[in-house]
Amino acid sequence: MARRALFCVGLLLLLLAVLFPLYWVVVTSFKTTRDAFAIPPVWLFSPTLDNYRTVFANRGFLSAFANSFIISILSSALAVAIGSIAAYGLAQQPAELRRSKEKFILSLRIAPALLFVIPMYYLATRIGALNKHWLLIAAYAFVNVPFAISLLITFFDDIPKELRDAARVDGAREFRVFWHVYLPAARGGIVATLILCVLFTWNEFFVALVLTGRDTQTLPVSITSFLTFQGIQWGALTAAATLIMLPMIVLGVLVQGQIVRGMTLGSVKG
Amino acid sequence: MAQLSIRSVSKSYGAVQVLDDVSVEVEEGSFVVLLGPSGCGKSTLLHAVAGLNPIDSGTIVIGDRNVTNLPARDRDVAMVFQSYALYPTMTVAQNIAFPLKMRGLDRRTSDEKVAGVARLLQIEPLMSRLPRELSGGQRQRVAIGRALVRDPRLFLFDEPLSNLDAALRTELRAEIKRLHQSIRRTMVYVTHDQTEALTLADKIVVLKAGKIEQTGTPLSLYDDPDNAFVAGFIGTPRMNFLKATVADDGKALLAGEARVDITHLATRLENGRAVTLGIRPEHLDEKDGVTLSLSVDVTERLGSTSYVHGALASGESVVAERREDQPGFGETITLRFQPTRARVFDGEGSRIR
Amino acid sequence: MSTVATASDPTRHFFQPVIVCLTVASVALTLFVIWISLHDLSLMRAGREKFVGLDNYIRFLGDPRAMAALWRTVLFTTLATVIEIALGLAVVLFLDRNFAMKRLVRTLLLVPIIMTPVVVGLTWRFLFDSATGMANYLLSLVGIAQVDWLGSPRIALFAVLIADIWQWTPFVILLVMAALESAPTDPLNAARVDGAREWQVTWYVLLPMLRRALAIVALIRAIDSIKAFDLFYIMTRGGPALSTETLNYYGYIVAFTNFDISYSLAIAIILTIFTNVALLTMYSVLFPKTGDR
Repeated sequence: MARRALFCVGLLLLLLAVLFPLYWVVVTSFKTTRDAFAIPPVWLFSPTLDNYRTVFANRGFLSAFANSFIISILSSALAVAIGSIAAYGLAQQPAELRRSKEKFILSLRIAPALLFVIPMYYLATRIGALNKHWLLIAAYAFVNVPFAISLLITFFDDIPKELRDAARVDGAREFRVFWHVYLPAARGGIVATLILCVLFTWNEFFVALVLTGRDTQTLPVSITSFLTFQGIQWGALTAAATLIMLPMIVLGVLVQGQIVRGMTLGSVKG
Repeated sequence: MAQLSIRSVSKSYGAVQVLDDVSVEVEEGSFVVLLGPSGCGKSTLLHAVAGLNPIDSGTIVIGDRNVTNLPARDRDVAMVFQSYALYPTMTVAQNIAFPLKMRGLDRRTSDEKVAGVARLLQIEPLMSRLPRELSGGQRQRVAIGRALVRDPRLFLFDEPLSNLDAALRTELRAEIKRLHQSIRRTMVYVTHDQTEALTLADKIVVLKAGKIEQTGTPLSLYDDPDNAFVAGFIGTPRMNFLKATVADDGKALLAGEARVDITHLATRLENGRAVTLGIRPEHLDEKDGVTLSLSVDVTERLGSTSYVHGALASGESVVAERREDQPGFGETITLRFQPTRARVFDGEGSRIR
Repeated sequence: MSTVATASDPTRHFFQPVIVCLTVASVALTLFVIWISLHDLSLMRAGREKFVGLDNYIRFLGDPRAMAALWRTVLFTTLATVIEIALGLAVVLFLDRNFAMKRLVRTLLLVPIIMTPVVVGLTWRFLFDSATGMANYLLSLVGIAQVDWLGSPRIALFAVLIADIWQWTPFVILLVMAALESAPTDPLNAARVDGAREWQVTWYVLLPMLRRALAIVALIRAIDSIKAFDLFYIMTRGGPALSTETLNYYGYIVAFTNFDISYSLAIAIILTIFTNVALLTMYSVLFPKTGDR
């Protein structure tokens, strides 16, 4: 009995440690400035939507929302489209050839982003592409393709090889095997990969910080503008933070089983 | 005319020779079984016929076309797989219609053909279900339907029954036999199960380590095996092999205390030569003939008959069928067999006739 | 005949274009990066670059700020990896029993992982605010004097470390938990029947089975910690007094504050080499040659 109580207390502390920071940010976003900075902290208060009004009045934030949306959806869709074709081809190869290609794909993910962002920035300034959406879509697709390939291979591997044999005997050409048999069978995995790509792109900061211009700023970059205007506007900042992470938490919970799988990829097979 | 000719086909994976100069002729309308232990190359051979695996050398002819370099889709064959290989996202009807769709058949004709196959296999109530909602037997029926619908020149079966439980296996085995008798199409069937081979085949090809050991009708393989491998592989319980030496100027063999007359053999053997004597358990329960005395370890009672496991005085273990009595542990019994039932093999395992 | 058949294998056409593109892109990028790092190229005066050989690399060796940043990167990576693995493993062993809300707990553990890192940085900056932050309030409840979390050069790196631990320990937990659940339970019961005490079962049977998963997650965390950027940018901007500047962050400052992209890329190349050496070392330690692929 005592052990059980101890376990419950431990579990409670764990959940508190994990969730409190999130809780505190969300709660603060509904507080007035006076409540937000009260010491001792105010636990019960009358909620206000003022902070959200400030955020929505901020044109830059709204356009950043649109930018993040467009860039993450398009680059992820592109990466998954390219990645699924390549992954299908790789999944059919003999182990040796496959492993060497997979190693190469993995090695692309170890180098620091600085290595490819600086040359890209340099070239973009030369051709005047810095303020263009396609630059970011291309950059993120380039980052996401290797990831999408390595994740999708594992989903295609779950499909029995005999299905491809059966389809070939039934008269399907290679592309129709891919299109009619493998894509539908791996539907769940493809959606999960797409969501994970969107999640990474939406959350990504470094590439966006360097490569976005005034018109293409994404949310993580845009939110830093609240840091510099005459000190920090914590109220608006917490409201903006809540708005940024909420969609991702919903998406993340949808594909929760795949997240750990997706994030470990790579090193697992090395 | 042969419907399928496999001529001198060889294939290796790295250093492993999986098929070594294999030639098989399959007559139109016949049912040929490729039989062998796992790893003998029988599935590789079937996949080569289907066009799923390229071969290193040799020729494959279907009908009058050399298909050696054609892709699977152009060979006009249909295949049923061990794991059924049903497309998981398509309904039963869509699965069966898939080969027709790939060949660009129009919708109406396709629907008619699918309905016809469904009627033949009695799977009409299942047509709108997904594969995962079917039992193993139903899945295999659908897989057979998908092969039937196209009316191909050649049906290939790759161990289609080995994922099913024993009762279903017997039932579907009979069904496949019935199917073959009613549509009279050429079928090539791979299995490691000799009972399936013996019951289904017009002709059995026994493979071992990529080589053909013997080709023949079920009965000829059972009665007249070319070598010790085929003799031991076909028949349950398996044939007993005893060490023996030639004596009496080649007129007899000495196996332990027994003297076996071999004057019926065409070959004359020299005195003192070491050979192997093969005798099936079911031939050891005769009224008279050569005698062996067996000290009994275990008796398996199967109801209509029993199998006695034991050892001879020489220490060699023997299984014998026993129809009248069921001796217990430690008893010594006398086995009798007719010398003409014995098969003689030389040191390499080749049959001496 | 087989060569003909293999060469015409259509599945190759599915991946080859992509692999070729990626290869060409990465080779071109590598050559370009090396070319830039061997020149003196600034964003301020584009087009007037001159060849300087290995000067940028030699400069790195004599740059105390870079050396300090390298040391800080090693410190941060080591601490973050070790603490996250140890803490994560402890939590996994603690949670290793059946209870009603296990699924829910697992879902909640995902939250820090999928939270936008910039938001995580802001959150902890908010909590660590020296005057109004929750951290100091909690300390005051137990009678400890206020700490200037992000303003003190001796403490700031550890404040960022805490945020990193908060975000990534759940990842360790989830991964090791998955490994634990897919591990067979029979050996554990066999050990119990053989007379082992619970701690002996854990130490001699369970942990060896989790070794591979722990090694993998350690490698992943090490790679990511070396490249950590977001938390530093948001929480401290490398300050105060450069006390939280890691090598990756220094590379960013050199490129986009000083516009010296040649030196910045030299730093990035050194960082990459350093990462690979560290990884290979870790790999050979974590996966000794026993064929534990």
